[in-house]
Amino acid sequence: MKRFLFFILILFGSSTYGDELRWAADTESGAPSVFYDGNSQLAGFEKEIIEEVCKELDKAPIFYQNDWAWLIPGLDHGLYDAIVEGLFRSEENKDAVLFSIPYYACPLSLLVREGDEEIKSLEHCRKKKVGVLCCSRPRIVLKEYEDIEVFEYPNEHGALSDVKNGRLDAALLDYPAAMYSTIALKGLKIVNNFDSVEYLMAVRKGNYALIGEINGALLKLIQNGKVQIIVSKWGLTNPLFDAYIAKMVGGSGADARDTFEREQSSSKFQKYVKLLPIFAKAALVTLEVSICGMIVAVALGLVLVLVKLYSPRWIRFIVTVAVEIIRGTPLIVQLFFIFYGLPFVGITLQPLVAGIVALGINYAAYESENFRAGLEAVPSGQMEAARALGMSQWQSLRYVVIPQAFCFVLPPLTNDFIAIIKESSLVSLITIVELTKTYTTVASSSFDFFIPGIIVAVLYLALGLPFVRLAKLAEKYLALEKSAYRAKRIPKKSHINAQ
Amino acid sequence: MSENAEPLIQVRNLSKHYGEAAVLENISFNIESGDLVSIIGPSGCGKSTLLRCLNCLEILDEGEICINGTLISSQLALVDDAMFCRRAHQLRQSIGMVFQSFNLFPHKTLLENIMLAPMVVRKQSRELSRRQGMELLDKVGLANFYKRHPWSISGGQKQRVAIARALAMNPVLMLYDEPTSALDPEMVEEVLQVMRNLDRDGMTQVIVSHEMKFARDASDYIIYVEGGKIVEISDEDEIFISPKDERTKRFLKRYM
Repeated sequence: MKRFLFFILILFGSSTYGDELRWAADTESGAPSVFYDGNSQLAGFEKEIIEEVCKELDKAPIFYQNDWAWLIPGLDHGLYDAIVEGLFRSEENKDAVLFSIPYYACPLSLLVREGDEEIKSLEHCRKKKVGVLCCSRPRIVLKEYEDIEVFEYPNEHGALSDVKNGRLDAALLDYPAAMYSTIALKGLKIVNNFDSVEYLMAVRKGNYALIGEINGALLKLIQNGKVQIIVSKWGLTNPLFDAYIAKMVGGSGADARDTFEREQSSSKFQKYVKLLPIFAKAALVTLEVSICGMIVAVALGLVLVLVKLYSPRWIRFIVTVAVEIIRGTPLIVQLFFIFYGLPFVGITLQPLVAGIVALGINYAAYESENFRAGLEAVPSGQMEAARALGMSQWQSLRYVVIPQAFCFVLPPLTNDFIAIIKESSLVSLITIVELTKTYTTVASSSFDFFIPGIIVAVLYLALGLPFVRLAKLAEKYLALEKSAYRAKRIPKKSHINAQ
Repeated sequence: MSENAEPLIQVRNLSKHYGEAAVLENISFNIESGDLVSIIGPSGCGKSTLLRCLNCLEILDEGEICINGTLISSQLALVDDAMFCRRAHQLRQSIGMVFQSFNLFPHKTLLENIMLAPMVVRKQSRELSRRQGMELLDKVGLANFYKRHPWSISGGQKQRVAIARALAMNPVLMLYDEPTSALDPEMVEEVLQVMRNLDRDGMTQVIVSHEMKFARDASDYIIYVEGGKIVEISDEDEIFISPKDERTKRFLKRYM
């Protein structure tokens, strides 16, 4: 328990400021913006640009993963200081954050299946199905075409694979994502580049000091050509970018793009082996969240049930209502409320803590009902006998009733632990990179959902099974009822001898 | 103990209701230190409730009980609930209770059953509790069984362990709530023998029982309860040979 508290303290204490720049992106959006490369290292042209900015500002870059849709709320609540993830100015977000000057500009690209000769531009897409990324520039452009059926996807990969397998007729993406996906996902081609979008960095509203620093650094990096070098290294130069930057340094070779291309064509097996460490790390996070969540659930559940059974009526009423509220609302709502809602009343929790608290509270409600059933299954004579021996109510519970109730409670407790391992995948929604998040990230940057999916499934099983075995053993050891059968097998002789 | 002028147990005008129904009405009696008293009566007459009131497992509605100098009264429960609870707690520590269904702790061995209360309540050392526990198991003839769990011994043995467990708190008074009712006939005697031994050692014992023969042979006197009232208190032979009350007569005719 002490160690657990210490762990919590460390989590709270880890949010240090000072000479670091905490920046966020969604690695799930894949190459070339910010993603994990074949060696499980963070890569991408935006990552390189922000690192150059940090170098200019003499700050250490600290990377935070967050879902594309939650990048701005996370910024608002101070999880990180800046977003560097293909953000563009729109009607919706122009007042929500402070934007820097552009560091990149490009057109939008229309992607179709190779061999599709029908669609040449957006005009040909009328009455057809087109996939876009939610909250993206293409999404806004397509609003003007009422007769195009638009499908929103949380990441590029979903849209692209649906174009490939025929669920969609086309996809409209930003140029970098479109270009890299044609490398990774064979069988797609870009048919049209049009419109424009400018990528900006974003900081919290009112953080003028930081945006000033970033703008200064960006300007310098554009003037000395570093931005252009990075962009051309990734093979992302285009007329719009050239137009944006007055002084352009042309790069002959698109090194980074070539590397990406090489990785995609390298042996699959090697690729998966390289993935293992990143999955192992993620499995540890899943295990950490699950175990801590379960510890909170068991401890809190015990408190809840004791209050419910042995306290004054009005406290009992409050606890009953609280338990019903927790049991009757979705975990995902509780998670978002704790993570994004509580900061409004001044409680800002670190992601891991928020995840553990949400899982813990949610499961505590169930555990308290489990415990109640367990406590009530212990005959009332046990409590009476303990009280008659002069034990206080608490002592009777502690030494007599609870140990016996534990035997009844163990099987459902094991069940819930397996369930919590699986449900812990929800914490990926609040920037925690655990197994499920790693799966979607890896899969969408390698455009392979199959083998990584099997790896993740095996890992989830491997996490749960030891606990099932452990619980089985504990059940066998503790079971009171079963031991009565065992007793019958003890030869009667020993009774006689003893007497 | 007998030099103590005060009776060990004084019950004055004790009443107990469950909702509207009166279970006990205006019960008064004294029990001297060292006595073995049987409470008999038909089923549902309130004799078990009376016993449970004595160690506050049931809270009395009216009247007062004074045991070994500790006073519990309905008045106190109204005026100072915390004080009442403290005294009830204190009282229970000096009274041993044995139940019809044994209520041994199934997750502990026989020795641990006996050691638990002294260690938890009295904060007695494990070593001392263990020594004392073994002595008590020996006293009820089960010393060789100390490592066993309750599920592996017979009913009569369980009840003997239950008595030993109650004795571990060094009580001044032992209460038995139908201690032999759940036992096979051939096991009754081994439990009664333990109680006889305790009586010989001077323990004050109050027994709610259907064992008329034991009540007759071993009791110092008998309280006959019917309909929540004490019908007759008398010397054991007297009540069996020539019951004064018509109701006692009827009851005993059925049992003897």
